[in-house]
Amino acid sequence: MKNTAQSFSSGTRYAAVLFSAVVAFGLAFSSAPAQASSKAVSSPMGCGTVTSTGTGNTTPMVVDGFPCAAGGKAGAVNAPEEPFISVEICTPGSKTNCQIIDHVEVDTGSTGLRMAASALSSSLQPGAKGLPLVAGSTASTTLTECEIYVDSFVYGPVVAVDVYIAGKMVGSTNMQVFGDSSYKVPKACSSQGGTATNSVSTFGANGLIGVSFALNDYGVYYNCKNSSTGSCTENTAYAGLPNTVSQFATDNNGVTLTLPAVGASGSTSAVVGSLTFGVNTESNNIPPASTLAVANDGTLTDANWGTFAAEVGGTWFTAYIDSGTDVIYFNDSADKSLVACPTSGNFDGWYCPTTTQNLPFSYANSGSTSSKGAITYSIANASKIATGSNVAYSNVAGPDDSSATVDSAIGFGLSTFFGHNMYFLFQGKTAPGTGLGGSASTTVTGPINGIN
Amino acid sequence: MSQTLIVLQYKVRSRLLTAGACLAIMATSFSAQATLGGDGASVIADQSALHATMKITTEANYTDYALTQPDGVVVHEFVNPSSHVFEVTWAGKAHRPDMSQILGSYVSRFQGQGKVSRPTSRRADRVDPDLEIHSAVRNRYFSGTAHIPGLLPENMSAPIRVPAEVK
Repeated sequence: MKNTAQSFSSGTRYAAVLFSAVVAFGLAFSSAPAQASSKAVSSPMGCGTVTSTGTGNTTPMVVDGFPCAAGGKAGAVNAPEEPFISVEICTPGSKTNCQIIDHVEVDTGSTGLRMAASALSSSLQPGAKGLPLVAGSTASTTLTECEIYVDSFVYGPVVAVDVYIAGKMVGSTNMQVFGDSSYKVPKACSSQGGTATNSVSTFGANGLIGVSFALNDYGVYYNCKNSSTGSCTENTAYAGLPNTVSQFATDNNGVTLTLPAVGASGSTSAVVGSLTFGVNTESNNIPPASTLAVANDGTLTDANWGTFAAEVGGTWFTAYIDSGTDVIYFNDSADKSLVACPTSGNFDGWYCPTTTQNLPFSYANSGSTSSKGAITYSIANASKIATGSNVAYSNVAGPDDSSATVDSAIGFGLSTFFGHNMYFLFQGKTAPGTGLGGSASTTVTGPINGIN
Repeated sequence: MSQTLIVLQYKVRSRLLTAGACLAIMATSFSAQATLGGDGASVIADQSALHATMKITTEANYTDYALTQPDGVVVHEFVNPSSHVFEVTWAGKAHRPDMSQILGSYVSRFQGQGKVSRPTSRRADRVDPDLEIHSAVRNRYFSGTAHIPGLLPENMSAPIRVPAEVK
């Protein structure tokens, strides 16, 4: 926690507010029984030892490298620069057949709850004896999902489940269970590329909670007549896994992610913050009037849906904020001082400047070039910061090679979350406008990002 | 500069006999999954496997075979003057094409590209001396390009990259 006392180059003006919030959570968290029983594990979240998912509308969120999938010993790192919460799941209607799953990745770039089969107890495996399968849209079929990632995928059945996080609950919602070898992957799924990340170590988490702007996931779904042989046809009728948070009875219009600042050398110890449900719904999720707010493209059929505009070096790009991406990726056409790391080493795909560069990025509403504010991010030599021992860092970036694929974009990954409150107002959801681009007397509608 | 020579808008189903005949002939000399790095004639095999329509455009340094799947995914296979596929690109909403089909034996290097192997990353890049792959996903829009530097046409120093026709 010592690093939290240092100011973060991009967010000094927010540090005071942020730090007090973090300390509050840190204390609450460190008094939890989970830490006391975590033995050699270097994270306050422990591995399989969490007994509480928080209270009210707030759950602890850690960036600890997921040591559990790397032997569990102090200093072990499986997935750096990745935020995790704990989620309790139960068979629908049950208060006893339940399990708290720790290290569920918080992803603001996708929607839906999914868990690795290997992370679930035997009584919570998919099927009649555990989590009920969900019917497909055609007779005598069950529903499965192929979630395709940039160079991998996960596949498995959609199940019904009760979800508890902090004081919040959703009854009989839908969740994907991936990596169950008794569900043969249809060729139409596996052929789309990459390898299935069936284990928690290759996935980098025990599960994932997607809390993007979108209220439903848009994965590829199948009706399976015989899931053990992969006899499945694509299902285009299912709406998609729901955004769990949007299903809460209250505090359901968005999420607020809070992480303390980390120092210039990164952090080898767990960074503890919080995931708070709702935006401008409770005293703990109110964006100050000074919050930098940008409206995202809210037309679901637009290619640029869910993006705003950002400028660096005089050029405006579409941009997005994504906790599921590790660092900032952008096109360095403006600043040639940012040399790329050698392609032959472990740092290929990042910048390795000889001296740390401080670059201002301007933020604007989607389709606009009228800046709402700027934040300066430090970019250090990745080979010195993104070492195998650091679990968190705020000053690493990489080139956006999507110019080779689609139009260039700026991806603001988790490295930009440290030292900030990050507000996400969901698609079509409303909030009082203060701090979100409006005023106390106005109501604003998502998708909106707020950075404070 | 570009000139469209042939536009084949037939569904594969209506060309089954032709494709089948082509495949039978090619089977003796080409793998059905030749594709990237393979002979230009293997493009026909890919068209069949992807159930795609094909549009052929001849450029100064190469020929562009644009394959459009029924789900809207567009695959381009770029063939150099010596009839080798030096680059393939893909773009589409919600789906990727059959990567084994279009990458052939190079598909093994599609997984775990470079150091960015986190599933939820939005981009992945692999730069090897003999193969360069860039893959991206944003808002369920998948796109990417793979090329073999050694097969680039003589007058080209960089790949073509993904045409921006799929939105």
